[in-house]
Amino acid sequence: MSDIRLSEVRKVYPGAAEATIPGLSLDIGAGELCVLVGPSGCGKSTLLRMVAGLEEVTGGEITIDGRRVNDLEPARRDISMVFQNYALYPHMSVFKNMAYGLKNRGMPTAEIAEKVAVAADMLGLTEFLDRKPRQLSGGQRQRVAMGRAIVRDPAAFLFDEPLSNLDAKLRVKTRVEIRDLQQRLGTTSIYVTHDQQEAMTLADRLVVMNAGRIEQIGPPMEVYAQPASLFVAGFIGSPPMNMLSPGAGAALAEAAGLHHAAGRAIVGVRPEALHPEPGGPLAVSVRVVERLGATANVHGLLDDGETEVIASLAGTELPGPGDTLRLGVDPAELHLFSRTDGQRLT
Amino acid sequence: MRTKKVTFRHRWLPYLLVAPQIAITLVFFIWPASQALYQSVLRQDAFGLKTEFVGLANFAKLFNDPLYLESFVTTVVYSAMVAGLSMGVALVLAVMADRVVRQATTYRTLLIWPYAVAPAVAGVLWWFLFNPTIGIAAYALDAVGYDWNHYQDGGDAMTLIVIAAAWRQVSYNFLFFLAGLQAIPRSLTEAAAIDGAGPVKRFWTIQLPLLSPTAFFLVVVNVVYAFFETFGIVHATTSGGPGNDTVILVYKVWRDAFEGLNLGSSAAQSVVLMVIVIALTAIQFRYLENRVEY
Repeated sequence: MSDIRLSEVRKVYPGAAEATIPGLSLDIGAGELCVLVGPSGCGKSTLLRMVAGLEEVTGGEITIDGRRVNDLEPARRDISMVFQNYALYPHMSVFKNMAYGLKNRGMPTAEIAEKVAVAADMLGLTEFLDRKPRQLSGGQRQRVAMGRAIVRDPAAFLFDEPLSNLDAKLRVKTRVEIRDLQQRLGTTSIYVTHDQQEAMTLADRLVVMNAGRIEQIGPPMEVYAQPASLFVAGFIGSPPMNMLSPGAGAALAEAAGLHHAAGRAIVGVRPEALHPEPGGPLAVSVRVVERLGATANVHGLLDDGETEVIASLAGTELPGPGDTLRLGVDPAELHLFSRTDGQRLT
Repeated sequence: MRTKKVTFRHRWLPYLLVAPQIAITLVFFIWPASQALYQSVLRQDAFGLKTEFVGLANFAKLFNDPLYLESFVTTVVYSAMVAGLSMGVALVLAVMADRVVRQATTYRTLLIWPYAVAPAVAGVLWWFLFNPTIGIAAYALDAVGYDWNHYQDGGDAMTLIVIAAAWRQVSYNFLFFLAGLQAIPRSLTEAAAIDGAGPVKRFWTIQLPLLSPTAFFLVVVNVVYAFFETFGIVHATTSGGPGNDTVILVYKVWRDAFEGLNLGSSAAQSVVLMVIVIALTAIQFRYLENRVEY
């Protein structure tokens, strides 16, 4: 097991005016599954590719297991990577795809066969070993890509949005499989995704990125419960957190006894924290009700006529469009953010 | 497969639109080809006064003619060398151009230029370069102790036409190889790099196998080119000599008809070439239809 450390890592593409990553430090502990999450273009993939050795590091230092890898070839970094499009070698059978990395390292044939057999068994690929990638379904290809990664028993796994080519159902299933596999093998992993739900469910530690910078690092539930900024609050959680302008949120803040903040801070409240309360501080005129089964998302407007609010309500007695709903919230569930820089106020 | 159906208001309009193409095919292909077929079963006397039907005698005579069989061997060797040399050089250039990031279009454009040169001009160009008296290449070879003379040495003559023919075709092959290389997803080479394959190993185990459909297509195209389109090169440089060392089949067709005035034999040779080109085309369609999909 190995740790990965990034210190003041910078990336500037040649000819680009601004740095893609202006200087980022991150320590990933041995055996940890660290998820980098952020909107597209936030630099998360670039960061992963720098760890893999597929992008040059402009500045700073990357170490894997205490060894500086900045200038090492990808092959010598002892990592394996799962690509978004799987990058399976189309002309090779599943067996050869998995054996390729071992063969290149000069492992004896008998040992290769043994290792591939073990990995294939672990992933339920044994019966497909003779097939070509094009004869496999999307989910099976994804598993072959995983197999190719684990068969080498590397110091770290790097995942670059490995589930985004799967359909929703398979994505949820494979997500669990990846988590299970990673826990069993205990291999340090970096996982890149733009899907906040995937990030929440997989991560030991979540790294929320925006414009090449880290917005917040922490265990998923901590990031969810204590978002460090408006950006994180809006990005993590589905449906997204309601953001009320200081004016619109004043009533909520007053009701919660936060008199100093009322009218001055942006008030955030998660849809699932809102609950119906007769005479509650928020009066919402309902416009659309989305029924999801166990819960329903009620979309409506505040009485200022412009602030949209989503409330995630359980139960069967739901309001209809046009109704006015009064909502309340537990004071502990309010999040206050600075109106100037969007940072969390404690 | 979805097909787009176009309806014309006038019945004759679609026919009018395809008429030029049909006319060209008829005049420049169907008519000469049928003439060749017809002539190949006839024999004419030396003065052109009398023509008689001889059945397949022209063909029988052809395949018993050591000169013809020799020309066959010459052509096979020649086209194998042209295809091999032009594809080899093109592949090296394509791999290098694929790695170039800056000014990539400039390199590509320059590498495509030779294709614009007509075969006869290409022949003359290389003939000048290798001319034993005035050629710079011959001079350079002389400096390293090789006495180049394609007028006397059959090997030299063959080398000359192979180089001239291959040079022009490199551009064509280069385009296809480059397109093929660029169609290989980047992540494949990246995955191979992570899997511990260096650039050379990546080329042999990933890129080259994935280029094989392109390479197969090019083999057929290049053989067809060497067989049929390089008449101008031979005619402008060696004229088949020394002796019969560079008489390829198309050149022999022309020479037997217009210098030897043996129309029957020449027509029979044309028919043989026609069969070869039809076979090559069939192979190409048969295998390229089922080309490997990724």
